[in-house]
Amino acid sequence: MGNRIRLHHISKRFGEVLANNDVNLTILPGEILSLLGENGSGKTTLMNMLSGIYFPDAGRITINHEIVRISSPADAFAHGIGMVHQHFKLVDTFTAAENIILGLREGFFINKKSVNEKITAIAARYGFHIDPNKKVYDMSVSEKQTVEIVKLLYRGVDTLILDEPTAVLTPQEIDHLFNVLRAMRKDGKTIVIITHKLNEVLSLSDRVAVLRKGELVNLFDTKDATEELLTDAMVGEHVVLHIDRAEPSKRKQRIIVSHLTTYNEEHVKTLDDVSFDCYTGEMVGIAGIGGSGQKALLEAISGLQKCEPGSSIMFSNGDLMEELVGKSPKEIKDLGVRLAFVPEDRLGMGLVGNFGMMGNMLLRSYENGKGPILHTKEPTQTAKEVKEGLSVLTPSIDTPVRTLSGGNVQKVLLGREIATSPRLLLTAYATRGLDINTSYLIYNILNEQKKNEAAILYVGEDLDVLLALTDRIVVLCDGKVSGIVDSRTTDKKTVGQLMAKFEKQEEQAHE
Amino acid sequence: MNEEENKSLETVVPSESESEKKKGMSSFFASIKTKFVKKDNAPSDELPRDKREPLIRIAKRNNVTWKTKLIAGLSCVGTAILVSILFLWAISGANPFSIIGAIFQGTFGNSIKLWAAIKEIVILLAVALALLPAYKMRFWNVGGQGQILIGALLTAICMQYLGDKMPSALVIIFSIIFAAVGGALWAYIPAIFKAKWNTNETLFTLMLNYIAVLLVTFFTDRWKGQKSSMGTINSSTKSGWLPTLKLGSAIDGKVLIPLILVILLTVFMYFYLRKTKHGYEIEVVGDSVSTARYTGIPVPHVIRRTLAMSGCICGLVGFFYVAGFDHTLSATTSGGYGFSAVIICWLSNFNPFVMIGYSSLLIFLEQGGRNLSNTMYYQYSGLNEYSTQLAVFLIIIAIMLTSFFIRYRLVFAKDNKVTVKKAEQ
Repeated sequence: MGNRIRLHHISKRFGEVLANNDVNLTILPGEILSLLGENGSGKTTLMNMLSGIYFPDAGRITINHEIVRISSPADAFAHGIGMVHQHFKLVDTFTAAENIILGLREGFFINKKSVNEKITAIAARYGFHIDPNKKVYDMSVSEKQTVEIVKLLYRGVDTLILDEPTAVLTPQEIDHLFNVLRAMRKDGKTIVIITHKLNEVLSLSDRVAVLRKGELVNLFDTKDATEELLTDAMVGEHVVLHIDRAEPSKRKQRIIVSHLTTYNEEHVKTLDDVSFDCYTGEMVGIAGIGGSGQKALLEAISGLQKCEPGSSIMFSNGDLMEELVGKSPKEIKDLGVRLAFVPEDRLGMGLVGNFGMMGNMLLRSYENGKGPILHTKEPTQTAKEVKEGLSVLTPSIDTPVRTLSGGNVQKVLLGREIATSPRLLLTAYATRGLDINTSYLIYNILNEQKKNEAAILYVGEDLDVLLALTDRIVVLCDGKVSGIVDSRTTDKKTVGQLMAKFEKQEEQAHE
Repeated sequence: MNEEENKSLETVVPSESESEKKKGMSSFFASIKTKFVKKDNAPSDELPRDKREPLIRIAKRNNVTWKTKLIAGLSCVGTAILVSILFLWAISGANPFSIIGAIFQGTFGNSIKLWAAIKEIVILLAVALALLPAYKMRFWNVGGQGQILIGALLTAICMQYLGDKMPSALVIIFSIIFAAVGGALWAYIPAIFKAKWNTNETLFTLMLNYIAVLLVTFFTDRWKGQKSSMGTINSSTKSGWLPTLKLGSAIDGKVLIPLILVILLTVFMYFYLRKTKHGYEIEVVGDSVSTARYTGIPVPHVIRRTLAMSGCICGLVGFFYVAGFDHTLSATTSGGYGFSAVIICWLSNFNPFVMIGYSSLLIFLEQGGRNLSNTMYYQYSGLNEYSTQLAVFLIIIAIMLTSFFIRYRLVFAKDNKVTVKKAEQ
């Protein structure tokens, strides 16, 4: 049987931020415990202290009533604790087996055969699919995750911590992972799963610990918990979550993408003959596993990505149809195409972290006005309006935006983009990392834009949101369009299958 | 003492039942005792520090006030000056106060020394200002030396070959044009490669320094012929020499015009970088090339334009060196200021006005060190050129540390001990 792990009065501070404050938590042997909380609530920090990444500023950890000191991942392994981080820590050019034994001191030479046998045995026991000789760079996200989990089991870990394990998986892969986790629980393993998705919590775990602003606010038995209870505990107040989906006016086509093909810098095809359209007042969702070509698609439309011959992106600008392929962002802007783009990498691409709100508003308009001198009157006005309108929390419009919280950064970016009253709005993972209230604020802003006749492309990862928010969903799989479905009539399963369509076909072809 | 501590612990856990508490307490302290308190039997309420936890760790300061800055600055620089003087005193035995006196004499000894210092400050500041826009753009131009040398070389060529063919004023005009264009070109070449193929600008500009040095040596070697050194160009006709203003003995006429120009350049740079569209573009490119591309800023164009300007100013510094100050040319003409300027840029956090202060300080220290070895070497053999330079660089490193300690503080592990206030259940 596993160990009873207790965290006593754990606190951790990063500069001004109190990441964890006096947290007391018991992890019972053989249970699946969910750690629920919004981004920045301190879930990962807390578990990092259990797995030896951080050392608590105050408090202590006991295992079976013995005080233990965990100041490195090796210490954690010695106590049977291991963690799968959200960003996998694997060596790309190594095989699965090489990654699994990496760092273990089992003599100078590696007995490949016995390692492989042991890995296969572990995989068979819990129902993993793993090929020990496959290189990591050839693996899908789900396979990499499997390697990380097997790596822990290989080291004899009996308490597994999984940080947001489902964020990058398709619904089918999530089901499989959950079955594996249930099998591990049956085998006496203890599992802690960090997540912010309520349905996963309810379907998988035995108990739920809810963290808010670094403090443990509630501990439920899952059978007593409801989505509503959990949400209220997470947010700290009663919230009504409702997306008011506006009906599209569907008057005319705003943008027609046809036969769009792109390659990345490594000459790998990122988009393969993609065709779809989007009407005025319509929101088209782009679904797909991360890295299926979403980034290339948005960058191609905004002029940042070179397109192959034969590609076409027609934009209807008043009565004129403009071809956007082959034009730079500046040329597109000079054509009078009002195109707004909220990129995935907010601070690295959409904003300048060292500038304040005013400086960032200038990004879209710094060329306006005569002469070589910057004209700051108009952007100052815009910055004030955005700060007011979206209630951005910032000391002043000159405070560097990199010091703001994720939600406020996104408000600045989105606020600037909609201030241009765009005809086409591209958004990539617009609510990633944001708390529930801000997410719904952003959904509402997008719906407002729909009413203003803007066409919106919404790249998202949460299928529930995509289904509730958008009008149609274009599913990308491996750079190709695997299906275009009506959000009002389809379901998660269908979209999930489309997301993995071509992988399935490949597998069948192999067999 | 031990009893008291136990009592204080008990008082902070009123919520639990008496028996459970005592049991928990005793077993808890027993476990601590057996595990950690071996020799002295004091049951401390502090858990011992983990051995693998670092003794000192570095933490970011939260609010940096001017007081912190002042204290950090004064303590760092003060310590460094103290250590430097103690060091010089230890190796030479000279009176520390006369050492300090000699350092001050280096700059403020007389008006000649003062104007010599001002000349050096002007040059250093000009080069630092030239490099500033490139650094602001995160383009690591370490080719200041080469760009200065090319400007100097082209000026010398103009003086050498055009000197007796046209009036001096025309020679000067040609020199200025050639020096500016040459310096700009020397920075423009790596900029083209950076913009087009993203080559490493640090290596590229560094290599161009070597080429510039060799070009200069090639020409000086030809010009000097059989003589041991090149000597002054156009020493009789003074063709191509910048005219020297006669302003009495208190002011050095050679330095006055460059001084005024560099002050204008400082003001210009400040406004160029903060208030103009170009400056805005430079800052965006420096922060994130992706953001710049996303906004529609033509990144390659901005890189080339900025570097051309940077090189152009360096080239003009070379012109002043040859036509204004030295009237001769050698591979050491730029005096290593291409590199010292890098330090100035970083120390002053890219603020042109702060640069004035740091350039002055650096030159003050260098002149002081030189004066020290010049005047006191005969008495104390420990005070030679090298030991005084060493002391100067100690102080400069301390200044750099200051900026680190303004942003970060050290946390000692003892502040960090885990205090157990409540007993285990």
